[in-house]
Amino acid sequence: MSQVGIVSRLSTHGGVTFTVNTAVTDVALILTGSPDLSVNGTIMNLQQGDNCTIEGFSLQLPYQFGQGKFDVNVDGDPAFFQLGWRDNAGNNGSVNEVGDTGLINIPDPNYWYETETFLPQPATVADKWHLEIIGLGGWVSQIYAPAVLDQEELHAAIHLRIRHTLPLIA
Amino acid sequence: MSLPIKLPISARPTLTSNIFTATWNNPTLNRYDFTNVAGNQDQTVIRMTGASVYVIERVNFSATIPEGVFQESIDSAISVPQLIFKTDKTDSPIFDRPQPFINFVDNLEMLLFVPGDQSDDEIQVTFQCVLNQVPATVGIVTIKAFLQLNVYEVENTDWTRRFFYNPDDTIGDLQLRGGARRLRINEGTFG
Repeated sequence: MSQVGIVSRLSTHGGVTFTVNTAVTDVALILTGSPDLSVNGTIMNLQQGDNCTIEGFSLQLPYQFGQGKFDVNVDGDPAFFQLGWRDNAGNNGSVNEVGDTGLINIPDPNYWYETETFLPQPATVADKWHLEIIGLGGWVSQIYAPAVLDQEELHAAIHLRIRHTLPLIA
Repeated sequence: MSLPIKLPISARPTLTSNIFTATWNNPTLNRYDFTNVAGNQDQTVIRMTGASVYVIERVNFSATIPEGVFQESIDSAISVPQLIFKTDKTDSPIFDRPQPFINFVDNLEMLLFVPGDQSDDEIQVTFQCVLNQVPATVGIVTIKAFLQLNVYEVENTDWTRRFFYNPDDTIGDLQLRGGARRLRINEGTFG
């Protein structure tokens, strides 16, 4: 069956950062709030009644970071993010159709992972709704980090590609 | 399989076509709802003239999504997809009950005789079906379902006269097979 429908590439705009520290081997990714997955920085919502399929995701780090080491602890566990949903009435929760309560492992940064995950509209949703990042775990390698960036706060971003039926609305 | 039937050579075959449409979320949220769309109700299958007999001989049914996806999408909690046939003027069903269609059929044979009792009558069909959205239908706004019948119109005088033959005058006589007129015995004068 041919692929049909609307494809949207969503990403976080802010809210995922780390601070360069050339004195250590790695620093933690920091999640601030629960950044929305949006288009060009504007929250774009799925209409009530719409379902979607998550087709792929990626965590984007600034160039050269994460090449030497990217995990959550010394055991080498992969970094992860947690996907959630929120409607305009404030109802929210984790996207339980994905992994363990929305947890998705990221084996490597800056790499696009394909998936086919059907995401029905949350049962309790009121009106429009969107996806957001509600959890994050990861350490970014500082080996060979440029001295000129020491103590600079750098941004990372999470990207998602979804296929859905109805147009996104603001 | 082949159902035996002998039609006069003057019988005219007609291929009918009916298309039913459902739109995601409209009018029912989170569903492809064929049932509550006015355009899917009482569609004309074929117009009938009086004194002719119409023989539904073959049925085709399909949709714009693969058959397995269609089956997976059926919201059986509401109902199974079904077609309801009736005649317009008498508003009487030509099958005893709605006909379920839970799979696609290609050249399904059947023999149903529908007499054109009244002039300017017609056979009408209503499609009732509610589908869920499943992974394979994400992105699909509209689903269409297709019904095609092969209908023979028989206006041969001898053949139709036997079909319409009223057995009331002949005790215990059998009538030619037909949906609307079945075996009747004149009980009033029997014995």
